[in-house]
Amino acid sequence: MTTGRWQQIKAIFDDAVECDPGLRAAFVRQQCEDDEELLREVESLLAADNATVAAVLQTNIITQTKLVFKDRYEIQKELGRGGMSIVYLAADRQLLSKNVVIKVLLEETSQDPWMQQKFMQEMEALARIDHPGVVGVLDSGLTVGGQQFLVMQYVEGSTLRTAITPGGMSPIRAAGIIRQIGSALAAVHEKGVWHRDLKPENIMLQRLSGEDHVKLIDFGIAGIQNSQFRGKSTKVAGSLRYMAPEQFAGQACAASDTYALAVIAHELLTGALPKPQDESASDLRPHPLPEAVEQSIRKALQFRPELRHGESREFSEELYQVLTGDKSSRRLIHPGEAEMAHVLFGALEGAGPGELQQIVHNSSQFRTAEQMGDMVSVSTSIGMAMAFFGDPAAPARCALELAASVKPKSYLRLRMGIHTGPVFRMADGNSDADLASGGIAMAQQVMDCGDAGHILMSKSVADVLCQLSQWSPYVTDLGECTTKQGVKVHLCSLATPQAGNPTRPLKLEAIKKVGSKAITTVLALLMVGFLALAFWLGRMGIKSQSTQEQPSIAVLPFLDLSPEKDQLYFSDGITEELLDALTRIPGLRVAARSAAFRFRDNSENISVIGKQLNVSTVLMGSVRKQGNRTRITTELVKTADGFHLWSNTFERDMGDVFAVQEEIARAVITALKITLGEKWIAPTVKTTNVNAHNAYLQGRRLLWLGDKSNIEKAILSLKQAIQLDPNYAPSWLQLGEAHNVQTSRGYLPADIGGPLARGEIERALTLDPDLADAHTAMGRLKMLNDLDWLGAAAYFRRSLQLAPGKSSAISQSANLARTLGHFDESVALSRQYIAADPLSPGGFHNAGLSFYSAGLLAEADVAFKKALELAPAKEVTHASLAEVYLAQGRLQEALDEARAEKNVALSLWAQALAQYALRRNAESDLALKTLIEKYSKEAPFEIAEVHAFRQDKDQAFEWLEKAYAAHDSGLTQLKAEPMLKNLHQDPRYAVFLKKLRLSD
Amino acid sequence: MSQPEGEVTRLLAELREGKKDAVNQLVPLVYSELRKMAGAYMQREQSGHTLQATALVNEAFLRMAGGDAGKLENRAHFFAIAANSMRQVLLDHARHRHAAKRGGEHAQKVDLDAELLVDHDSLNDVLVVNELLERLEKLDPRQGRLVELRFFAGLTTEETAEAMGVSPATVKREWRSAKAWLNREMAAK
Repeated sequence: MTTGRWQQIKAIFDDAVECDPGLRAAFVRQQCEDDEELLREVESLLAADNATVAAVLQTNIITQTKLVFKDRYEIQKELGRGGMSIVYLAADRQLLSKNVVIKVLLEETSQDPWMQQKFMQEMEALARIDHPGVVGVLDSGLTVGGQQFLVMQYVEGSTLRTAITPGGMSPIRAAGIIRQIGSALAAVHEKGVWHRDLKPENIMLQRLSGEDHVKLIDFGIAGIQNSQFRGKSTKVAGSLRYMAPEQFAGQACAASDTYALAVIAHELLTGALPKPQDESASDLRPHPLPEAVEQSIRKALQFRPELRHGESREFSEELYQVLTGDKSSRRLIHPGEAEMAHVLFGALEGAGPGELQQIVHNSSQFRTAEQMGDMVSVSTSIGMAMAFFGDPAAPARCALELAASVKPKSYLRLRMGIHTGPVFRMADGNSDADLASGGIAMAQQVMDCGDAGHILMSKSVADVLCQLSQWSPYVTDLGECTTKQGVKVHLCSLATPQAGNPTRPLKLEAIKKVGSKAITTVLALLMVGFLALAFWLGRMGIKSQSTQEQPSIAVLPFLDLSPEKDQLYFSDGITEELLDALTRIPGLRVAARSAAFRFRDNSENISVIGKQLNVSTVLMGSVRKQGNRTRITTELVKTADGFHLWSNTFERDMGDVFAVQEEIARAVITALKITLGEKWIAPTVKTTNVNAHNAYLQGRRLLWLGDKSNIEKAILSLKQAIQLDPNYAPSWLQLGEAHNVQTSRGYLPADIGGPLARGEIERALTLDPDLADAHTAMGRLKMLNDLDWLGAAAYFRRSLQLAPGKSSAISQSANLARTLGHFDESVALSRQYIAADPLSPGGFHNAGLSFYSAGLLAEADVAFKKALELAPAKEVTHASLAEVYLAQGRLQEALDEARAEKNVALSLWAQALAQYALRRNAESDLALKTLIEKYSKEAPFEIAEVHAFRQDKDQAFEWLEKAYAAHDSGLTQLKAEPMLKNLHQDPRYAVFLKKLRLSD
Repeated sequence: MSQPEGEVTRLLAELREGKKDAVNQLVPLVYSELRKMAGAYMQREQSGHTLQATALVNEAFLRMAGGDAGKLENRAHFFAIAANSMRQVLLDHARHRHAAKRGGEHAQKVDLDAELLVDHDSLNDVLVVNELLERLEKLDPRQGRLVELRFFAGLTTEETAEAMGVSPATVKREWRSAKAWLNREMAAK
């Protein structure tokens, strides 16, 4: 498309959106004349105009996921959206991340005065009303984009809609709910507000301690008397089926809410909407209502508001009376009087809050018993108890029904226990004392003896059941068991072919069974050396032995004191050259550049810095450069007491900078009383061209900045340095690194960038075979690009000979050792690295990998956690932690970590493993399938791992081949990954190793 | 802060006077400040909180332009530069993250030390939007700029208008067609 064409399309589009929707199509066609392509363009654009806006474009804020309003409310998810607003679930940062609900007026609608007014009125209405049956408003404000929002109480539960079932609910329960709505409406009307949009979707239902509690929500179109926000326009609004006739004429009043409540009452009781009065074929209704109920509802549904009950509450109270009044046959029980009850206690794992309650409420056994008034139910923090009075087989029947209903959802783990004992029917349900004694507590203890799927019962219950002949085949005597609370009970298990768990509970099993075969294998292999070493990492950062034994130093970034403050590149350059020189001293531990540079612009006290970097001395200084003269001040300080070991000031010409650097390095050696062997190679003068050195330092600094345009500038600068002195090796090395970064970021195609970088690094090595960093860079190329492990090892070794304290070479060597299966070496190097850079999340992550491969699982756990502590948002680490937990047999924790992983591919990978270990094959299959669908290009190696773990060797090898073809860097894990040991005996493994040149 | 106080203000003033070169000096300053702040966010926030670009850009402005923050035209110019820098910060980050492998942390010469707290999926979105935006910029540079300001710096209609020197009505109109276009192209992907 050309620019002109786009302008043409846009012009028609702009006019069309202003056009009356009815005329739009015709207008567009007329504008486009005979140009079919133009017509298609404009029409598709118009279609996209009001289509569901792509999520990413919905807000002005780039980081879509976490919108934060007022720097306080962190949006969690969208709960729903309507014509005028979006409703979010949010966490209140200033209140322990408490859940709140936020309603935001849509940008598009904020232009409409009526909607504006309604939004303000909702706030006003909610601010006026204070009633437990009405949602509370907490705050309001404007988003950064200027949209209005309201913060409201979050009501946990579900809408009344979910409680409406085809046959209708028990009249007693319905009566209670309607009565509560009525009293909430009374409070609303008292404040001069009418809801006008009452419907089951706008009423939240909570089950608290087995009781229903309602809350009215969404006052979005409420009418309000004497409002501060009066406007001229009125609109007919509401939900058709619940709207009173007068609302259609825009004449809503309090009695309109009564009408809506009557519709809701009818729906709750029968499961259906009331039929219009003229269709008086009441005999066709599935559930004919008792006459008195029918009458009451019909009155509240009168066409004319004045013929309805005077107040909504009048109607709800009347209905409550007629619904509950005829239940006079119920026995009267006095508070405090215990009754014998048959108690079923159930607990559900793997479910969301309220899911158990929902499952129970949906069961026909529960509903029948509730309607008969033969049962009370209580929810506790552990689960839910149902106490049945009368039929001793009722809990067993109910248990079987519940077990059958959760069966299709294999991820739900339902345990149940049955016991007959005393229960206080009139207890208020909140009194733990009442629950803890009695039959309920015992039923829970019985349940606790079982595993997922078990229906256990105490012997007395079983004896009664077995007297009823149909039960005895399904009852198994398990013998005695001591409960968690130390009570001895004789247990029986109930299991039919469809429900219950026929296996013996683990608690009663003499010999513990072990998990699936795959896990056993991995476990056995990894448990070796599990406790071999103390928590070495735990001692890190405190005054560790190594601090005293080995001299250590950090070079803090030198300050730029030049008048123009434009010599940062130079002061950083000096810092790095000094650091490089010091890493060449054997026996001196040097804090990594990345660690030390964190303290730029930092006014922290030296002892704190020393502690954080785990060093005994710090070298710092300043640079002042003016013209060709430089003044360098420097001091060496002990971190423990701030004692100055040495300080000096050098005032030289630029050409002498190298000599000054060497002098400083030598002073450090003397001050730290390091005896130098012949090994130390002093930094030699590399260029006599001051300008070349300057350009080199500029390029190096720009490269550290690391973004696209700065890398480009760095390359220009380095090329200039090379032009000025083509024999200056460090310039060539940095140029190669710059091209490397460009390639790995995708700024440069691999087939161009790769060879370019290689040539430049080779050139640097030819010019200066003692340049340690060039050896490291070459080693990395050999390792990652050529899979030439031995070649890489040789380069790294040379680099560490030249500069034993250089942390980048240490880290690369650790990775390589791990790849080659030399785990002891990789563990030792990893420890060395995290000692040099105790603030690096990546360093701790890599160390964790080394520990994991070496079977030091507890240490791996600590290292990964440390990485996450340093960078809570870090990717990849949760997935690695999941692997550690899998190996330790902590399966549920493994799954939790897998889910916490932010890298989607690795999260799926870890979930597929954890679910398989948890024997949830379907979930594992799903995760693997998604992984393959979405990431077959990026993660073939990970896919192979999952197949191997799941014992599917053919697939595993097939994917390993794909990983090889795709140059998947995951292949460096092949030997290091214990999970792949499943494959080791297969002849194909040896062949594959050979191909990777990893054979021993 | 490494740059002297008031330097940003001075450069913004030069920009206003028509010295185009000031932009070249401002961009690296703004970029590194934004990245540094993004990194600091990470260290400050303990759990799961996400970087909010608008807040970041606003804060950067206050820090860098200091006492001169009240001058609205300065703010507009600053935001115009910040939008582009923010785009770059996020893109670098998104590309970097794309390559995530368990054992793949073979310390790069250049490491984005700021592990920005942004969601993985939205970063993928950032890459997609960026790609589309590059296309739109070719078709209509002004409209592309507008999307950059709104999307990557989170500017409101009024702020965008100010930064671009056009009327709010124009911004609204252009934003609507741009959004429709982006929607359509994203759906086609």
